[in-house]
Amino acid sequence: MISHNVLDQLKAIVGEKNVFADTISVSSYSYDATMLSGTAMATVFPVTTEQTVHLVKYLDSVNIPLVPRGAGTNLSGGTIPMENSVVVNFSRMTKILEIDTENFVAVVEPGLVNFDFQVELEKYGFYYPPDPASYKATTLGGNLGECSGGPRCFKYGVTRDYVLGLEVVLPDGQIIQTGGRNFRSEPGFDLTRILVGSEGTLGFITKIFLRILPKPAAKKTMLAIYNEVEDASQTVADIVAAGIVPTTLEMMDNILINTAEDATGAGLPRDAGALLIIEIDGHEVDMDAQVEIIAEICKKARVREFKIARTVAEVDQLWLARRVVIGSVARRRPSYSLQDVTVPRSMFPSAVKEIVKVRKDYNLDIGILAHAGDGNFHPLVLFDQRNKDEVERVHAVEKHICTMALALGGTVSGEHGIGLLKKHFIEMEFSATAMESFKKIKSAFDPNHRFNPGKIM
Amino acid sequence: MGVLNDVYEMLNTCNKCGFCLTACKTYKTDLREPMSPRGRIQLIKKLADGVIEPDKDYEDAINSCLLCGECAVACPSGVRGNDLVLAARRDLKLRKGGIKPFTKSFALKTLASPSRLEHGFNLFRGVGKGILNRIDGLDYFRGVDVKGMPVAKKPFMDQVPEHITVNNPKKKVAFFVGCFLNHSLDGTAHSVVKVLTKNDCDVIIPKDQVCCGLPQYAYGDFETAKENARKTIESFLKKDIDSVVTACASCGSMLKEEYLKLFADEPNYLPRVKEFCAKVFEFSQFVEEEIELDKSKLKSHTPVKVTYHDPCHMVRHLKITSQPRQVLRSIPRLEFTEMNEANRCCGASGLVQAFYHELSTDITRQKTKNIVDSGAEVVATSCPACMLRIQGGINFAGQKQKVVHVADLLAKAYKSEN
Amino acid sequence: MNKAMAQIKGLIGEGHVVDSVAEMAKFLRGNGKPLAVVFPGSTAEVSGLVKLANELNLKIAVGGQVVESKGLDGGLALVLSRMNKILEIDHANLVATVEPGILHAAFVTKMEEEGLNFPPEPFAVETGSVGGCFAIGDTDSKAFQYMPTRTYLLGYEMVLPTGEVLDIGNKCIKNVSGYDLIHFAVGSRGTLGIFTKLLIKLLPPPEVKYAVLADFASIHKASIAFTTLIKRNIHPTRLNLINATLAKNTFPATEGNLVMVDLEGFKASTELLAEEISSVFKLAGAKNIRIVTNADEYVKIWRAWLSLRGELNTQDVERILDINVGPMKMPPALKALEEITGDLAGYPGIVLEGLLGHIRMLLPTAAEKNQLAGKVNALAMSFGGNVSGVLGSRLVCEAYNDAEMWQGITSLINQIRKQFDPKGILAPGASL
Repeated sequence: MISHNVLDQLKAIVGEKNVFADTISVSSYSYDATMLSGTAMATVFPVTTEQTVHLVKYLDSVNIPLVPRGAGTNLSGGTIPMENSVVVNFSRMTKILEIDTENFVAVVEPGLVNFDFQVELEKYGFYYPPDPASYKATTLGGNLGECSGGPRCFKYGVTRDYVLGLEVVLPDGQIIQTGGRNFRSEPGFDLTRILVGSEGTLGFITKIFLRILPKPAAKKTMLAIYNEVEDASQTVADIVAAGIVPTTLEMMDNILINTAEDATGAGLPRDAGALLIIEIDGHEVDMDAQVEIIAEICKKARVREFKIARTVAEVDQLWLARRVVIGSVARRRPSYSLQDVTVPRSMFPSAVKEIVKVRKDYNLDIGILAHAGDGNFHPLVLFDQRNKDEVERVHAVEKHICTMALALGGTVSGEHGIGLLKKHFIEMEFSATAMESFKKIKSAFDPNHRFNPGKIM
Repeated sequence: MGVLNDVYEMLNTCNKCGFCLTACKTYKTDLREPMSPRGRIQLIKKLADGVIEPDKDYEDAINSCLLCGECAVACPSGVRGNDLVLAARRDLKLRKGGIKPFTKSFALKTLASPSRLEHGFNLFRGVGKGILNRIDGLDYFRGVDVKGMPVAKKPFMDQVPEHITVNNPKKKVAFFVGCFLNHSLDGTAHSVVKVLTKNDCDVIIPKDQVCCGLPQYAYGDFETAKENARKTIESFLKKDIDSVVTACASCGSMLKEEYLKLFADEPNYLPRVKEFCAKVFEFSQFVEEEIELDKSKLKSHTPVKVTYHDPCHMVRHLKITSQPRQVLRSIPRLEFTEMNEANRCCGASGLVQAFYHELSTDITRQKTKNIVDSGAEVVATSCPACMLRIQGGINFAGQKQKVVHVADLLAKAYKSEN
Repeated sequence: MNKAMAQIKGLIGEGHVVDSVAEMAKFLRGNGKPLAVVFPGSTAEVSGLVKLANELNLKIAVGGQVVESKGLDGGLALVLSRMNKILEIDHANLVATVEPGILHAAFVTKMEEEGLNFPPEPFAVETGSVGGCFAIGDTDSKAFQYMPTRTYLLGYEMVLPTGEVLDIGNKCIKNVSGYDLIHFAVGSRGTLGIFTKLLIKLLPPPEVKYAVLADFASIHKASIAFTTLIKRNIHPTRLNLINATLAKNTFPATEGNLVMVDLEGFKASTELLAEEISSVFKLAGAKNIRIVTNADEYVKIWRAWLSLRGELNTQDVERILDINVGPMKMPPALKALEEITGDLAGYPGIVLEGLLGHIRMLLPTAAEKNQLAGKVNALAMSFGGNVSGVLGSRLVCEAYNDAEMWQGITSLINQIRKQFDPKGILAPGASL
């Protein structure tokens, strides 16, 4: 419980309508998109940097930790409130401060929803490449916190590659600016990079300078359907080896094809072993030659059907299936555990094989979804959280898959972050020296462990 | 807690992915989790699990839902947030005997009883408006344009006979008028009758028809809703009719869909409900599907730019979207233009506009902006609640657009013929 | 001292230690007087040297071929030229593992032979090492297309300032596990640790590489032509200009200022773009416009560019001033700059990277850099930019009259340095 005195102070800082400490509100900020939960003392919505500074300084003075939050769609437990903390909710800081298409820069507040930003950019013929599957709901601040990826990373990179600069409130209440408006990097510690993906453990982002790009002149979306998932994974390896850099190489296996089809009725073949969505973009005159090479590669890998989307509607339909696939598994089983391991691309076929094996060994439904071009897997382990035995097997599978990824030279998190969920696996990935280095970073920024306690380490 | 048990499987299916957040107007406006579909669903689940109490804040979360159904469309797992909220309201009713405080439940009770409703409107018509008009500055009460709100001089059903016949009728159509058209927008009710008679339909307006029961149903009072539903079904089925037409999307969804759910537990009566439901058509659906509109009879002298607002009950419950647009496009000299977010809620949603007026007003403001941006002079729609709400929003914003029913525009095209 | 030398020689072998002043000078830049120049051959040796330095409180600075000696009196200059091997080239994953001392030029040549592409440019074309690329992290002018230098680092092995070996990263191009120490280290100028292995991301090579060269009498007209290209959504790999003074040395045939455009991509679109760019330049009044498709000539041209860039990079820092403005703000910024500097074509040096909005100035020998920097920074800020680097951050804070923020940044950076390097051993000359 939070004391009246603290509550009054918080209200004085952000205003009556931006502080909530009733049971219902507190309970509503106890979760995110994982199965974890915690308990906050209160939720506050700062709407300016100055308010954020005051909140940080005040809460520091009364020894209350702070947990940042946007839309709470993350898949790592990064926004689960720990240790009786106050949730600092940035979702009411939604302004687009500037869109400067001439200089490829946009300045936004952290609570702006990725989708709302894209809609605005669209008016100028521009876009912002990182678009995680949840982009319709996620805030950009949250995207930065977790360093989100999305299906376009193969060619365009992840969130960190589009952040030019930040305004940050440090745990001692000090405001700093890192980077700037320029794309050229600067000598010195790259503070911007260490902050992106730090899940709010080092500082709270209150203003973001982003790089935006003009929409590519041309784009081709292809669909390749396979009888066997192994053939799809061979295609991925071959495309990369051929030196083609698609914007997207997404893979879904039979289980997910079916759940996505249930949700969308997009017309996906229910009996296929796997499918790949392949997208390339660039200059109009370069498209056909690349499509030809890709078609050839698919053919060699025993593709059953190879389609090129002819209309915008066809393209949208393909993407719709991909975007809803994670949620759609609930049609099969009520709960899912979403993994986020990455392996080197050459290990992609081995990883697919291993996951197919795990499916049998643990007797669990596991749908395989992958940003295949990046080697980033999202195996979806399906179960019912009310079934204790199943839950235990799911945890065993989680560990198995992480261990596999590390054994194949990969990582336990490709784009979702560590949060609470992967904390137990992070020591498997990093040496003691690396863990010690992380602690040094944390100590330099937040010696009193005030910001998002318990996350990452 | 039987009600919540019945929907527990669906509660358990919510994976908290949050895809519904953006689909929800109340969340996008307020930006607090309890005002989001995911937030509401998780609260309902926690109540079902006995983790939280149904306190005032819980009631606010549940009662502020617009029931627009947008979350159900956005949910990849097929969870229907609006159905879960409906169950939660039913659960609240069973726990606490209905919504509190008194004024709110009074409003529902009034709607449920034709005599009380009529009494209420008479009062407003006579004394209320006179008083309101004399209060400077009180143009908008809780976001509702009270002075501008039309009130029928006398109820529509007192203005017309029970049977309106034509020569050589092709169909016998019963008109379910609904409370709004009867007491407030009687002009639209006349438009409906005109279009039907111009198309060779006998129109039967059963005088004993009552409120469809949706307002009570939406707030969990299934008993009263059932009582009204039974009265409605019987008053129509005892007439010799081919179809039942309503010009209110909300009544339409209640009559055509929710009655079936409401009587699911009465297998003996259900066949009669089904017989009734099969006869029900929404106005534009009836015009497009059941009669052949003779376009040569439609005339119009002045060009007009029209946009269309999809009422929630049309687009997501009855799933009728193309028919009203077809009707509009068939009117000569009418330039049709789409507005942004045409299918998103206007913020009215039954009593939400009264209980959570600030929220509702913010949502209406977004609708108004989309209308202004579209450049249309006239907004057509298919639901009287939306008509009143949107007109209020437009007036409030100092704009000039007129909101009418699709039936009004169509009827006007017949008028020009005379 | 003798004892220290003995220990050092014991660690890495007598043959790999140089301590005569004359001999040392070959490997040093600046006026510092280190105890010795040492050439470790392995991670273990580097670690041993660092631990020893901690014990004896010796400063250490590192270089691939040449070491900055500022602040290094009595310390050790580590030259990593012996650690110059390519340990692995992994075609399937498009990555390579190298030792940091490998020369940039040698690495790029090898990668080209292997059919791979490593876009970042070297700090100095003759002596620049791959380790130096990442330690300095100076983005090249290809960043608009290929992204900044840091994106090419997927992992590393590093000897920390206390001697432990940090091994981090993997061959995955998508990796958000833990704090991003990988990219954080890029540009840290040897303060965070000493790279001993680098895991580098590579790309498939472009189908063709063309250059478009053009002579412009007016820098301003060239700069406006750049903005015309940007408005037409033409974003070449490089879009650079060197002013007349510099062009005279590098490309003696140039009439006035030289515009250098690099086009790397698919043949079909590259051919189209080369033509389109030429016609834009023609309209802007350029002379001697030539499209270079011959590979040898292309290499020669860009090697000359890199030499020039290297010369400027290794100049006395007091003579170099870097400004960033928005790319489309270049024309007005240059106009305003000319009011401060006088004729830009005849200035000792002006280099533009058009797509990045970067202006590099080589100042006259007698210039007062600090005074000029203040003026130039105010100008840059009015065009959405600033003087780059630490100097720029300080000037921006000054301009906002925000001493507190400046203090906040410096104290944070000092905190980090202190955490990793409690005795302050590494890179004494680097100011961050």
